[in-house]
Amino acid sequence: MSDTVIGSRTLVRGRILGEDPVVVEGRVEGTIRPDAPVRIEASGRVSREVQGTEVRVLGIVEGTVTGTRRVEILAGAQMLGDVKTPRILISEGAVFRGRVEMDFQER
Amino acid sequence: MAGQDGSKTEIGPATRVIGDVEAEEDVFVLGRLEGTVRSTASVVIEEGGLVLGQVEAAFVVIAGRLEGTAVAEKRLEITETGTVLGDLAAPALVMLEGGAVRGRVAMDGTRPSRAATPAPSRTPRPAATTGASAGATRRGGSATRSGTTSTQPAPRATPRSGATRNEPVRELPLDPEPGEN
Repeated sequence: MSDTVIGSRTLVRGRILGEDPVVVEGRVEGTIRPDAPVRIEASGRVSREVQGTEVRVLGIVEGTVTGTRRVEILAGAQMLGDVKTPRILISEGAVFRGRVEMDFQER
Repeated sequence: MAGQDGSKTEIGPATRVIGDVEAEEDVFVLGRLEGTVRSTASVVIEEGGLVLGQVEAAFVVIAGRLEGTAVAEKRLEITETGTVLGDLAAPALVMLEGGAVRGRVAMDGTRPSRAATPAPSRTPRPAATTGASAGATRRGGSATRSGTTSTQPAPRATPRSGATRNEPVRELPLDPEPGEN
């Protein structure tokens, strides 16, 4: 499977769907919702909504992030919005403001 | 311009984009794009790729399928696997044997209007595109563009034959200066 790449000098307004992994190096205003992993690179910027099996954020996201398997907010990321996922990683050096919603058993 | 850093945009074969894409780098469509794609560099609809809408770029290459209009500022190429249902405008147009077009072609600077897009029809598609790795889902292609019976008159200056007479067709490289542009 080949990836879908939104290059660093590209702006997409709308929806990105499908089954290819999506890599965002540029800007997306809208929804990214593949049945596959999503990676927002350090140069990437997404507003509105990201949903994927695994979502890795190194750039800027303003909106909702859903990872059906996991979400990683990595060093350098700026995450403004809510995260919904069963597993989450927030690295040192990441900025995150928003809510986290996880389904888990109370221990 | 196409990135010195090798940056580009690629819509994967199992991806569907609904909306507009604006790029200052090359855009490759291997999947499906419904909307407008604009680039200051190249837009390439690869074999198996489908665009329903409008393509505007300096260089346009159609090896897949376009249902809509394409405007190339410099050069437009339709390969032997390319299919176009709609109007084309470019100062230089190259069409390889096997390519299929239903629509108007303007090489005189007039621009096709969006409304002039004919409804998709059962054009026999070149054999090469039918098999392709294309996912079955993407091929539905029933973008029933309400076949707006084009109301405006045909661009009068479009010569039927000998279209190249006043417009010198420049010999341009297939890929616009890969490193530089």
